[in-house]
Amino acid sequence: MPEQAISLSFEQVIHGHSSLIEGQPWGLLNSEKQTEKSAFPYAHNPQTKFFDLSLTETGTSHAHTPNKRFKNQSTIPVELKDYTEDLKQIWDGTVISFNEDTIKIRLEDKITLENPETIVDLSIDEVSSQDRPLIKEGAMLFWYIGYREGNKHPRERFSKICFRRRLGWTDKEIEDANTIAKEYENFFINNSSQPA
Amino acid sequence: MNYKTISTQADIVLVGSFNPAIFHPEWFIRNKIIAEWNYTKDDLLFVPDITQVSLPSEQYLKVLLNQFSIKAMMPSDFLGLRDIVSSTFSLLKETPVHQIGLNYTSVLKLSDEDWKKFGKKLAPIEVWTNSAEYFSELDDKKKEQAGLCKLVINLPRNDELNGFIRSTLSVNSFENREITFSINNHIEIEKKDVPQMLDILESHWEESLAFSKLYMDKILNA
Repeated sequence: MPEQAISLSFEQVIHGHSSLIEGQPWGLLNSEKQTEKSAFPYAHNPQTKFFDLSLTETGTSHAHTPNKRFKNQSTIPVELKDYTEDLKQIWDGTVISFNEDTIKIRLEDKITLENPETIVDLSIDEVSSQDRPLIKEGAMLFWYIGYREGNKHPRERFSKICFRRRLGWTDKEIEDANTIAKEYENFFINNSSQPA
Repeated sequence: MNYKTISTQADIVLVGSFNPAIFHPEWFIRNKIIAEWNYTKDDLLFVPDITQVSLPSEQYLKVLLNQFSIKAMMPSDFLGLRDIVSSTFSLLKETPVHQIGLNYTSVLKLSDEDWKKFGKKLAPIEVWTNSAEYFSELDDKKKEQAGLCKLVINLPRNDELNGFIRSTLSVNSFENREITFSINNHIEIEKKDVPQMLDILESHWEESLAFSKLYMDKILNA
């Protein structure tokens, strides 16, 4: 698929809008380890299964029926949506400060990792009403820029900001933070006697 | 190769022991894992041993007694899946979790020319057709029906975790020349607990997505 280069700059305020999106049929679940016969439609029938490497517990089979409404007693009805996304840029952001009109965000480029951090001022209009209660110093977000295109959906640029809803720290995050803190501690201790 | 991406999805699948009744939309909203949204009864299947929820932004949750899975249909939601799973199980820390799958799937439409060539490149057909004695007696039109329908390739992991990376390529629609390409990044959770699962998820989700996309591109353009 040909890549389309787009010129990105923070001065460009990209207003994307998404059309109504609809899901696609949910694939059937297959499980190798269900040794008990289950009444549920998602249970795998061992009698029909031979040595099939594709049937793992953690893989989802993809019973894809494009443009069809898939409806039965045990799945929610969904329809195939009309467009796909082609992401061109992703930033990891942290809110530095904010007022009623703008948010100051520190951005780290997730595509070109060697790019330096950038600080931008973003209009609060870029943030969905659902995410606005999450705006506070230190709040984390992802910012996506790309294109959407589909059969009935003309190619258009979109910009999407998603504030992250995280509960609790994982052990690894705490361990990483402790490691960094220790490095800083050692640095300052070792360099504290040097003149300014 | 000339192809068009029809759809892409990413999903996180956990195998363990779950209580589907917990995972009602209200639980996610009250615990601030997902922003409040106006769900209807059509978005929800909530019976004793199965919960299915159509979440906002084309994300879908399904919980069985032994499996929890959540998928997103838009690339701009893939990274957020990790946060939903992470937040969910930071509240359900005692859940036994045995395995995790970090999965990526694309449905692709091939050009007419590539449709004929691609399968033969991945799986030479002669071994199969030559072994069927009747094949040589078929007319040309029937002979053309011989070809790759489904292929599964197992790769070992390149890290210290137990598991595998398994790619599945299958015909989705002969009529539309569509194939489904799935990559199942399967990891065994040795301690069978949530903290280890969360560590694996945090450290491997983005890497798994990046690898899957690149690997798929390379196979398609091999």
